[in-house]
Amino acid sequence: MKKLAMTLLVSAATLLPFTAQAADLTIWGLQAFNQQADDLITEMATQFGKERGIDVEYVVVPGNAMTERLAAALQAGAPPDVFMQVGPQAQYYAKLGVTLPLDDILATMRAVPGGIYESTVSQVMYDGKAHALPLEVDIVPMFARTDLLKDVGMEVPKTWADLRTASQAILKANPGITPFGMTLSSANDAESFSRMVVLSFGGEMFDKTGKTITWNSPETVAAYQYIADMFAEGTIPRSTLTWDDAGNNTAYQTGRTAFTINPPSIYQWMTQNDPDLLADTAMIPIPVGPGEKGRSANLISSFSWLVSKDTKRPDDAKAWLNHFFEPARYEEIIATVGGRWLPIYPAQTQSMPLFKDTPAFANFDEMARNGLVDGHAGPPSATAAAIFNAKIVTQSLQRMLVDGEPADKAVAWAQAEMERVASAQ
Amino acid sequence: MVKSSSELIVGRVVTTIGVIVALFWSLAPIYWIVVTSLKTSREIYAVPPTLLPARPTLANFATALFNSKFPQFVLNSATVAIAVTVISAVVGGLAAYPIARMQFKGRGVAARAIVMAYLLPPSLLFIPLFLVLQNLGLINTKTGLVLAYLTFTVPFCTWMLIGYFRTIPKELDEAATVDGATRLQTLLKVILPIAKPGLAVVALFAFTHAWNEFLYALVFVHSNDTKTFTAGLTGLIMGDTFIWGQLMASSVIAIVPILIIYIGAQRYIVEGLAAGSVKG
Repeated sequence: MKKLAMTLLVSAATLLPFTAQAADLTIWGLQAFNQQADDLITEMATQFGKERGIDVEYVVVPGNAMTERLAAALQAGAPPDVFMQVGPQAQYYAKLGVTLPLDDILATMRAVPGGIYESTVSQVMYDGKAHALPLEVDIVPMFARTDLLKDVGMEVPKTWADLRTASQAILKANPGITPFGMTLSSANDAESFSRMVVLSFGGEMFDKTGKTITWNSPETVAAYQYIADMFAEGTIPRSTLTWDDAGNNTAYQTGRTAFTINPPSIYQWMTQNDPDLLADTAMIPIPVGPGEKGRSANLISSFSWLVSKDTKRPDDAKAWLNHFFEPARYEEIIATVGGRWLPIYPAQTQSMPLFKDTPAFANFDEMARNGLVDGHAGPPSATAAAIFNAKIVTQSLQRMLVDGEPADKAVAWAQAEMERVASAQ
Repeated sequence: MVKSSSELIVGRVVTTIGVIVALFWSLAPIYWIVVTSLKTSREIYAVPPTLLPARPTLANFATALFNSKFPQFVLNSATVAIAVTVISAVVGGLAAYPIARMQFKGRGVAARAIVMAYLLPPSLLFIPLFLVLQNLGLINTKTGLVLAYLTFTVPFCTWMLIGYFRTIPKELDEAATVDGATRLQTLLKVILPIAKPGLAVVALFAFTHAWNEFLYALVFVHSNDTKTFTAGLTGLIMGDTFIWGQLMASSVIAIVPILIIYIGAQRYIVEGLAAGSVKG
């Protein structure tokens, strides 16, 4: 017992030398979807520090932990010098007044031959200035099972009407398959995907000024009704009401669903684990909605870099961003991520073998150029982000699907809730 | 009253069913973790799910042990948990003894305050604690994490030991005092040797608390040199992609130390819980 106690005491004593060693420049990056990419960026940050003669610490933060960590660090007055967040969040931090404008670096990026995907820029603009830098484009295509479509003699759907017809045929031929895996819970995926359906039908959340909420429209009601009809006939499974963000991934990867909407993480999984399923899969644009206002509404987002206003090393922080976005170095990062990040430079989408030579990515350049952002038809805003965080769209869908509220009433309820959130901003 | 044979049989059947349900309830998640850790990624997603791996693989363990930072995270967890355990047991013992044995003003308030401190939810404390650690320069250090964990393990250990010390006859203290022992000598030479089972229990609970803690580990430390395994596991959840095989293999590895300690200290735990918690 005494020996054990001594051993424990000695072990505890080894803790004493561990005191805080703050780096000259601290960078918090979101996980880049594979270990190799995280290691590469870490190595680049270390190398950057050596070249600049400073100590640089690159910290990989899981996506689900970044917001809490930043909240605590900002509260304590000790945020990292540079940090990464998902696109719409840039508005939030800019509004808090904790970020530095980065227009000069954005200008440098735009000067690269071919420029950048301008569709991502509005997300990082606040009060006329770029408070963040989009570092990739998040494309959210539809995944479609070509083998199941072939079995029922159909092509990949181009319109939402095609998708419903195909779903009905697939369900009839394969009662074990629930054709359209559309998340309808309160997960983030559900908020995003349901916006895509509504926007495809011609609905819009804001007018062009971004000041008036325009959710309650005949087009939005038609989109809600479309979802309700598929849900009622079983072509959208009831279980989607309980899915988390991984629910549709799992459903598609286990072959239980014929269509779903998701970033290319499903593609990455198939390349590593299921080449047969990959061979039977097409990544296609979001189907076009009905009527004159119908369109293929792909909602894009991006991870972004932000610089803390209180950084003691603004020049080093900006130098790191220039280092990161230097095209040759940046291309290496994108190649290592392996498809989950589309490069911010269109020229690289057209030249990199990963995108140029892989048929699955054939539509991505067009989808990135024409992608819509949250808050459409207005610009991205803190109000749009607050509405997203309040999960109003999915709540209204659940009122319709679970409580049996008519589509027009559910839409009207969502409009009122959105106006309430907007007035509190 | 003597039970009839049919009553005995019914009693045994009910007991057996109860034990089986309890075992299933406790062991099914562990079984699933172990089985999943031995499957390929494709098999993990197979429908219907397989109860046993069709082609068992140790690849997930190999990746966790040799191609990731997980061993470093486990070592960090062990360092922090051991330090927390030792300090909690020592401080808890020194705080519990006077409350259990001595008469002084504020004794009751102190005892209640200790229980209240233990009951404060970590989700309320993490930002104030972050500020404290930040001002002490202890963010992203194991020392800081140890200090944070002590905020809940010390009250817990003290509270448990108060109950345990009360089960030890006061006459032993009085005899030691008559023999000329000081209070500290009485505690160290008389009370603590008798209270070994109680100490074992509080040490084990402190270790388990520190080993399993997640929220503080997620917020207060972030580099690979300081991150504990609970925070490290979140790195295997990449957005909507779960690396299930590695997650489960890493969880199996993390269970092993706790399992060994519980099996080794089983006798003390049973004695300590019976004497301290129930009677206290």
